[in-house]
Order: sequence, then structure tokens, then C-alpha cells
Amino acid sequence: MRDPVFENERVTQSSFSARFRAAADLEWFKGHFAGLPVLPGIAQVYFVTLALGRISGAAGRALRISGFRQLKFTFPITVGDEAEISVRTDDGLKNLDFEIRSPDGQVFSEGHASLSGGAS
Amino acid sequence: MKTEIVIGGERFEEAMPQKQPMLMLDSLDSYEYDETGPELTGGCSYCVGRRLCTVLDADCSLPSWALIEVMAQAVTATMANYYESRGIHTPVGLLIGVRRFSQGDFTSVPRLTDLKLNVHSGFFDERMAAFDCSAGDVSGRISAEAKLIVCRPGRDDFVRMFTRPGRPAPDPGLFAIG
Repeated sequence: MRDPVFENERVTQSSFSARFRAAADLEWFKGHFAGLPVLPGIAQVYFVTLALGRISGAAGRALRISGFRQLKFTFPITVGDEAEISVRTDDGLKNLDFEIRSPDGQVFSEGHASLSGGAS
Repeated sequence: MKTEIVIGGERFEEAMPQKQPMLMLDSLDSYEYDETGPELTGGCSYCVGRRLCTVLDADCSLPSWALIEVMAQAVTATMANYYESRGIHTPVGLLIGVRRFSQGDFTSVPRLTDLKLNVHSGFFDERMAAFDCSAGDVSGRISAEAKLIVCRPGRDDFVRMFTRPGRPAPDPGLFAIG
């Protein structure tokens, strides 16, 4: 399974939030790493693209990420961790901010992305 | 200046902490360690979709944003050669930051595209390193650049980051150097 199970999804034309659990059967844990599974940073980026897909659907635009700046993977996500993902775009759908944190507030990752496809 | 590649051939997959299906790179092709800086430079190859990987899309193309992971693995391969050349088994490192990632006008890299990765660090020690990275194909249509920050936690940080209530304590030897 490559996609997490998002629960309590909230989607608008400019934002997305949900909860998910880093389940042991997520494919991202395989080979990363032997003896101690760590959710790769790129998996968290992938989850952000899934969130952007939900926003795109709500906004009726084909938004995609064209660059990143200041991505921070501040605390590792391992098997069984609960997390909340929050993604928000600006009014012009040109930029995106995201954060993935634990329910008790520990930030796992955060960052900013530039978007294309936002023009009407 | 040291340029010997000690993780060539079958040693490459053994030395890389990432394993299938997360291991993407095919080889470390060039390596330079200048201890006067110190500076560390590496060059790697990756043929997209030659083998299955979690990061790939269903058609075995590589999403453009996933070049961050390919670059991170090129950093890992370069650091692995640095460690293995000293007789130290490569400790697992963590990608902790991407200061910037910029790419050309493409959404994915087609299957069987041959990519070349180049990474260079003018600032690194055994705990922390910053690498300027680039990725591209021979046509120039695919190109991306990034600055990646990686770390190898010490034992105390390792225990703090990976201990969870109600679970067995992790083995610090997997990550920590000292």
C-alpha cells in the first residue's frame, strides 16, 4: 500500500487536512531501513501531493508542485505513529505551505512549495 | 585528494542503507575527497524504472518531485564511499532539510531515462552535511537542482527520536556513529 488512509478529511478550494496512521504495511517502510523502519521524507512529500490532488479537485484546477523551499524533516515518523497533515495554498494558488505533526504537536515535517496550474 | 571508489559492483548495494524497493541508484561513478577543505564530491547514475521502486508511478516513470530522493541517495552513496574507504560500515543517515528544490518544465521523468547525479559538499563532518545537488539527462530536457541537509544522529539524539511509549527501545548501533 503506497497511499496512507486519510481520516477526518477536510477539503476546501485552498486547503486540506486529515489524520493518518503510519501503518506497518505502507510500502515506504520496506527497505528504509533494515532493522528500523523510517518513513522516508519523500513519502511525506508524496502525501502532500495527494493532498494537493484533493485541493485541485475542489478548486477545479490541475495544480502541481513545481519547486520546494525550506523543507524540514524535523522528527522521524516510524511504524505506528499517528499524524495530522495540513496543507494550505495562497489565494492565487501559486504557493503551498504544509505541516505534518503528531496529535500532541510534535512537528514531523513542514515546508513550502511553488505551484503551477493555478491560473484560471 | 582521494578518488578511489570502494563500493563499486556488488559492493554498492551492500553499502547503501536503502534496500529494495527503496534503493534507486545504480552506481557511484566518480568520487573526490579533498581533506584540506574538507570537500566531498560524487557522481552517480540512475536508469529510471529499470527496477521497481516504491517512488515510481504505475507506468514506472518518476514524478519530478521524487528527484529529491534520487539526489538524497546520491548523497548517501558519496558518504558511503567516504565511510567504507575508512573501513567503517555506512551508518544510516537522515535527510533533515531541503533548502531549495528547483526543476525544469516537466512533470515526470520517463521510464528508462538515464539520469546523472552530481553532489558536492564544502561543509560536512560525521554528524551533519550540506550538499549542492544536480540531476539531469543527456538531452538537457530533464534538469533539477537542490541543496540537501543530512545528519547522522548521535546516540542520545537517536534514542530521543526513535523511542516510543510501550515499544522496545531501538538499537542505536543502526544509526549512531559514536
